[in-house]
Amino acid sequence: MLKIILKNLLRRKTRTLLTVLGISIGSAAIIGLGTLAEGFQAGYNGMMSGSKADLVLSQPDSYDISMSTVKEEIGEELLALPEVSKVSGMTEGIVTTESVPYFFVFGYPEDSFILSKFAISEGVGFNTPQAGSSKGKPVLLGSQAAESMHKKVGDTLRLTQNVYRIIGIYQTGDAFEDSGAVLKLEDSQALLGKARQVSLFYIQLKDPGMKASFQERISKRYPDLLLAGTKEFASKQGMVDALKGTVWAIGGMAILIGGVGMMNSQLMAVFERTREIGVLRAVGWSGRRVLFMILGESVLVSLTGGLVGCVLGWLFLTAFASVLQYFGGSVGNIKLPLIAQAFSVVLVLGIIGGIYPAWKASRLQPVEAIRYEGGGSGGKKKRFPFGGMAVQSLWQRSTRTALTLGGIALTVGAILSLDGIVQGMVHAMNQMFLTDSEIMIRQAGIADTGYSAIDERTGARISSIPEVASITGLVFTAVMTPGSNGFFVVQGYSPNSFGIQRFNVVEGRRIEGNREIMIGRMMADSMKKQVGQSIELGNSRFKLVGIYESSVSWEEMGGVMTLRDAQNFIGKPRKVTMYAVKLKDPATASATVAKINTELPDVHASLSGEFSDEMPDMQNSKAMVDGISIMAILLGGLGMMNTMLMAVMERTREIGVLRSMGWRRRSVLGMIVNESLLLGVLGGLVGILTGIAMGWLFTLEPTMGAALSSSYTLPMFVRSLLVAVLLGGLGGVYPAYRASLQPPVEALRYE
Amino acid sequence: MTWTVETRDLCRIYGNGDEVRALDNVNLKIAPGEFVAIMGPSGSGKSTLLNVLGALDKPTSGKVFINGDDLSEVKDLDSFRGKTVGFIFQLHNLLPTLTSVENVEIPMLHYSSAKERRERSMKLLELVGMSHRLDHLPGQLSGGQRQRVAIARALANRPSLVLADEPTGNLDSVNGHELIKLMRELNESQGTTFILVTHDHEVAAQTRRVIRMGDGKITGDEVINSPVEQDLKDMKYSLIGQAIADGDLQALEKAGLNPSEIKALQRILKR
Repeated sequence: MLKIILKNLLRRKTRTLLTVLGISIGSAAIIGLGTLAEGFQAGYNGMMSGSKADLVLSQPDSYDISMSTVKEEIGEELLALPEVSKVSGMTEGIVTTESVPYFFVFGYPEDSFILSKFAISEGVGFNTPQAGSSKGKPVLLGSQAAESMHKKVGDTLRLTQNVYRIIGIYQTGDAFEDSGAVLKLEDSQALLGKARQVSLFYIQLKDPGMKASFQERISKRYPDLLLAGTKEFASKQGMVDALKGTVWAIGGMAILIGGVGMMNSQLMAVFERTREIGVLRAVGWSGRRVLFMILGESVLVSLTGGLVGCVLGWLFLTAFASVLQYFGGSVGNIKLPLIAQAFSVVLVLGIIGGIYPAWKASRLQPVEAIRYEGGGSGGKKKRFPFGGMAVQSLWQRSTRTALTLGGIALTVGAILSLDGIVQGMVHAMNQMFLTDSEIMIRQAGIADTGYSAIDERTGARISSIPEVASITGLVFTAVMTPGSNGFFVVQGYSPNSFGIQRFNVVEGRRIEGNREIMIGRMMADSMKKQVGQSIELGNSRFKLVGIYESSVSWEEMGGVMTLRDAQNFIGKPRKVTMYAVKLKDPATASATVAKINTELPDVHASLSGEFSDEMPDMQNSKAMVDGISIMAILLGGLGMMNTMLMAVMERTREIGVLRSMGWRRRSVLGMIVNESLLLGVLGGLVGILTGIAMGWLFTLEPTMGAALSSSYTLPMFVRSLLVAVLLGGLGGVYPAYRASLQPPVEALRYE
Repeated sequence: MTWTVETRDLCRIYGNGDEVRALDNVNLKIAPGEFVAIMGPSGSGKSTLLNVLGALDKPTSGKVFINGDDLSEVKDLDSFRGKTVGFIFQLHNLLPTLTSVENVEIPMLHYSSAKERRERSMKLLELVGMSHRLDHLPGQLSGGQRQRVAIARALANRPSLVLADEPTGNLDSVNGHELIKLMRELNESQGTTFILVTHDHEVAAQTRRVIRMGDGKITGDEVINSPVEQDLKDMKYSLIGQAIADGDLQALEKAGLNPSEIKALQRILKR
């Protein structure tokens, strides 16, 4: 049996190869992205377990360590508690360096007990006379970072706009730490804009047995903080979950497209061999045996695809190691369970893709199967009422057409829906800024707008520029909604700024002072809150004074508090995320942007209309969408080429007949290309509908879905159609070219 | 005179070391309006000869002249095939997704307008007795009907030469006889030259000239069948022929034949 299966697969080498490749892309995506997610988890685990601390005290509901803030003075109070032996604050943040967009920075007090795990391999640590005498602020660099950035002791390191002197290289064995850098606590606070704040406290107890009583004491004394064991804390990081979600979304898409391709290919294989299957049945094979043969073929193909995918995934991780290692995405993190996961997915794909064709093959009546003449409809199908050869050919080979359309539609749909969501975000941002101001300003050299922090003194300098009429500072962050997995988008505005006038309050009033909050209608409904009640966010209480409505979906899913409250809330006093600038004369906008950017190198100003597009978050999202699009096009293109290849092979004799009737090569080529272009256009249209439907499905995603809204533009639709037509055209041209090259005598003899 | 087909020392050799001489110095002349059968065992080179004559395959050496034109000097073989030659295959090879009318139109696609194509196609289908099946798909037709459509398709561009490779190979003897009879009628009424390759002696016996091949060479070439002989042979497949074979004297007498006439006919048909 296995021999027959192998022979069947090898008989159509190109097709088998294309199917294997299609499947391998799906499995490579799972391996590559899964390893990244695993690496993330491993990074947190390593950080926490390496600390030798017993407990971690942090801000609850924060999405990630870098977003958690705790007051630094609490450290002294903790140390005074009877159970506590050692305490160390720690700040964590992500910044950009000369060469890396995402770079981990850790800050510890010079005498922190945690620092002992940073084994210095070159140079010196903080608590040394040499450190004190170094020129510039000292920094310790992780060994992996040092290697990939080609830095050594004595070199300088630029983090955002600040320059530090490397005094030592360390190694801890944790991917995050080894690919990041350690600063003195006060330097890191300055860099990250977290004056007198830390991300968390590591706590070591005198006796681990005292845990229970200590926990009780802390929850009474600091009800707004979260105490957790190190392991427990590591597993609670929202970033890991988000990444895992992405892995499954992308993997799922790859599997969907790959599965349709698989089914298509197996179905063709069954059609093509109908007569052969009839013969097998006639010589005594049971239907079940035929079923297992076809199923065996698809399972073997998909397992091979899985294997190739593992190799591709490994190659991907190796090729991009220099970037990915910052997230722990190293080849070493390809774990057996992940491979098992990829293989089980691929196996399911093979079975699902093969079961319908196999069932169909097993149900063939031997007598009819032997008489089958290939390709045609056998007179069972009605003709499509109008249209030429291409239309009839697609209409009457309906199963294949439907599957191909499905493949193209999924590809185009996936791209369009992701595009739509990014476009929706840009659109939302633009709506927020455009009406109010001419210029938007954020911190320069940051990886994500969430990390932007501009000092209010810089704001004062901006407002003193003669062209500027007025400025509004705003704080912008997200927290997890208490008790659920959803996001709550927090914005901070000064109550008398022009920016706050934008909110259309439908119930209650605008905020007028600290400790007040107004929230979006959707959030109010989902939290079941009414004006006058109080809201707890990150364990701080706010009085709900108003409910507003907004056309920006994530504003609906969040709230607005005073600038001061928001600054305290995110632990960045006297810092704002962005400034919106109104000019005296809008015509001076471009000149003023240039002026701000040259005079104030710490910040980055853009025209409001371009700000969202220039935001690093958007750039990243766009890059990700581009990456996924390329993968989808690759997958869809392979599937399409496979189908057209089969369609052409199946009709080799037909092509021979046409050639013998005096058709030119060109005409044969034209016929096939026509057919595949038609298929492409149809697929594009179905794909646009699929994309809109998928975009809607994304909004049902529990954690972030409600904050997403899709927005489509005409160029996006045109692009989708173009992609589909390109898939169709390219998929069709090669097989058609191959077919037209065949000498007519051979084509006629083809079986 | 100009021969419809003339070959000079035609050779077609397959393979390099272990060569097979599918055609070995074939010299052949076929006049306009002839109706020729090529017979021979499998592998004797019949199909190869047909393919070379139809410009589907190229000779290794030697020359082929069709209507006096040297094929090796014809630049546009596609249009030569389209206009000068018509093919009929053993398996009808109709496009399964197109109707009878559309199938017949296919060869004309590059040479005439849509309206002309449709008119010509309908006329040809009428000529082959298929005007009642214009809009049927091949899958809805019987084997004999499909071959009739294939004949109509072969005649689409008014070729001077029709090449048929085992056209009756997939038909029973009655349907096969009908099909060859139709070809012969078309040969007579349109003046088109027909060359058909066959295994079947009964089929060959319906033509006017039988060329025998063996090992790539022509081993025999004889003219058979005066028109009278042919009429008598056709009778074998007619109702009267059936009645004589069955010995159904009652029916024959009813038809007005007297016993001595019946006996004479029986003698002739037994040959």
